[in-house]
Amino acid sequence: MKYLFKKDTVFATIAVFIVMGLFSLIPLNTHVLDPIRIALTDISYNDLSFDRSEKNTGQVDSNIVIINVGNSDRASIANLLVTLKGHHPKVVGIDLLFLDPKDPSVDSLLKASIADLPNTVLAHDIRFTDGGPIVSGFLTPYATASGYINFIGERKGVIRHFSPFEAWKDTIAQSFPGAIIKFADSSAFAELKARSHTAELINYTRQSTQYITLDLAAMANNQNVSSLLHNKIVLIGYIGGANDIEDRHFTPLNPQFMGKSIPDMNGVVIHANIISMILEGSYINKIPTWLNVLIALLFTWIFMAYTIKFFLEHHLWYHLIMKCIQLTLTILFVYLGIIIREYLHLSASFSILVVSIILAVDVLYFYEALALWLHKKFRYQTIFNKSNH
Amino acid sequence: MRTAFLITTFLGCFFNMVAQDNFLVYQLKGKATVTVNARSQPLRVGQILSKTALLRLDKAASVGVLCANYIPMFFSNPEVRLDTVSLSCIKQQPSITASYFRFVWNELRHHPSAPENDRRRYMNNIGGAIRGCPGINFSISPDTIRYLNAPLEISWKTQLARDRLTINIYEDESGGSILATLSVTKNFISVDTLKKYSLGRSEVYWSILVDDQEHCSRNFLSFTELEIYNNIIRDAEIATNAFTDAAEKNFLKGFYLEQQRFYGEALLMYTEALDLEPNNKRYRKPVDDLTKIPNTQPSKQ
Repeated sequence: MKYLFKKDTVFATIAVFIVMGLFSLIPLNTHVLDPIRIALTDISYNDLSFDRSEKNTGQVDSNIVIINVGNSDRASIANLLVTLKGHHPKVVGIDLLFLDPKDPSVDSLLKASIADLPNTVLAHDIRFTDGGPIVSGFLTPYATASGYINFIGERKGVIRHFSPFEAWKDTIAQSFPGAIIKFADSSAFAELKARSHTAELINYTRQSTQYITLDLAAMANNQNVSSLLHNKIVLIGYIGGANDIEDRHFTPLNPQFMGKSIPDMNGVVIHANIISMILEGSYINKIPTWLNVLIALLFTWIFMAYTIKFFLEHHLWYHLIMKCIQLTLTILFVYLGIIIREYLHLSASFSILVVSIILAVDVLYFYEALALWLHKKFRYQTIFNKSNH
Repeated sequence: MRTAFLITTFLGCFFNMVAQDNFLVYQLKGKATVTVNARSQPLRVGQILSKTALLRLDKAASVGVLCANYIPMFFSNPEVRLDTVSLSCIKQQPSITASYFRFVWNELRHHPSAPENDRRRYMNNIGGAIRGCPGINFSISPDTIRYLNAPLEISWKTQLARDRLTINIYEDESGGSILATLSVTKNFISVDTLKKYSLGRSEVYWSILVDDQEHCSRNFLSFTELEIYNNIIRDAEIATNAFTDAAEKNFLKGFYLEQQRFYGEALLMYTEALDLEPNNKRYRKPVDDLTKIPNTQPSKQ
């Protein structure tokens, strides 16, 4: 630790963060032809806490029942809603986006059945344009409430976040899961609202097999349906076959962590996961950015002291040792992030720290040259002026 | 010398980019005139024509023009409105060089950021199945189109971003194999382009896909043989025999062809009627209807 409190160590650490800051100011994506970077663009190592842990093999959430409408037409969906009324569900969320009118008689039937069913939440789409938000979904005025079904994520990317509420001017729009929770559990809704998070991390706890799923066609022949649906949150949506990618998205539960794969979860199951998370209060909180930076700063300072030690005292082995240390630390910090996510329900981003560790070795060369130049010109006292390497 | 070369190259590229809608006359047989902004002048080889130009060709005359992207086109019809053929200038298969540098440029500009920090920009993933054809309004009813050779653009208006749309051409009304998948670069496509990718079939189906999902029913496209078309034209002649006024006759023929779903051929007839009586609002309306991009009102809450 003899180099920890040397001014060169402190200045070299600051130089690392200055370089990082300068890199972030470059308006162009300098990784344009870096295949590894491109492949890793939508990768978060924290996803491993969902995918590789045994967490997602948990219990079935008996509060939620999903009804798969498959490719049923609007008339069949209207009939389903009429049938559901007799089973007294707590709330019915229709995760189908009706964009335009079709057959007037069937549309009237659907309108009537939506309007007649109490506590119905109908899905709509919301897009934010320069001219303001555009909301699509022509049957929403007939439902008790409506909620937007948009997730936050790169197009065709991994879905990790959702926005619980969106506000503009005098309007507050609710997300589809938020609107459902409002009917299902007022205290859980109050908690969601009180958090005031503009983007909530989705805590994926269940696969589609961990929700009771009924098929619309099979429902007619099932005598025990009423007991399954009574006082439950019923989600009506589409679940296709294994190779059907309609309304399928990539999630952290995808068995293929990176590289090319097929989407793994239907939108309705993602909504179910969000609802489960809100009901159970199992939110994932993010470590604030300032704390991430502070941790990175402190660790880089310590790391720099060791880097300078190897640089000055074991220069022959400097590069080899530092590369090994960099690799080991990167693996350890990813592991630490997973552990923090798993046991503390906290999302820690160690990317600043990992980048600073990677940069430290190269920045030290630059700092050494600068310090020697300052020494020559202005008699600046530096530990690098001894030719011991 | 090097500076001059670089400046020339730059200017050449610049003018090439801004002149996407221009045509160069490179072949002329017989006599022809060009009308722009109600001013007519004889057509000359080497002349650059704008998209708004109207060509009038004498009998047995023919004109060859080049689009900005070097696609040649030949006309021998008595009248040619260049705006109706401009779609044929779209290059469906860009060069490897252009594709590569477009990729590099797009990647350079794509500065990755955390979606949660700019959430409204990234709320494009819908977690629900779509029922219904998502907000695409066509200039003409696209469900059935019959086509001989008259230039026709099918245009549409939508709130959806172009990169979410693709056009598939199918063998059958449902299921069946996909003959071609075309990316959407503009809010229109020429029937000629659809024909080009129909692999020589006389009947195909096509549809616009949103996010690679087929939400809208497939549209029927029939490439009619000349003999069948001539029979229809003969019927149209008989039906309009009672009219002596050439403009009215053309207008009614256009109406007849439109009813038969020959929209391109109908547009030519309507245009001829309008050229004969430019102030006739009744003649103008179908021309506007078949060429204008439709308006659409997004539903708002």
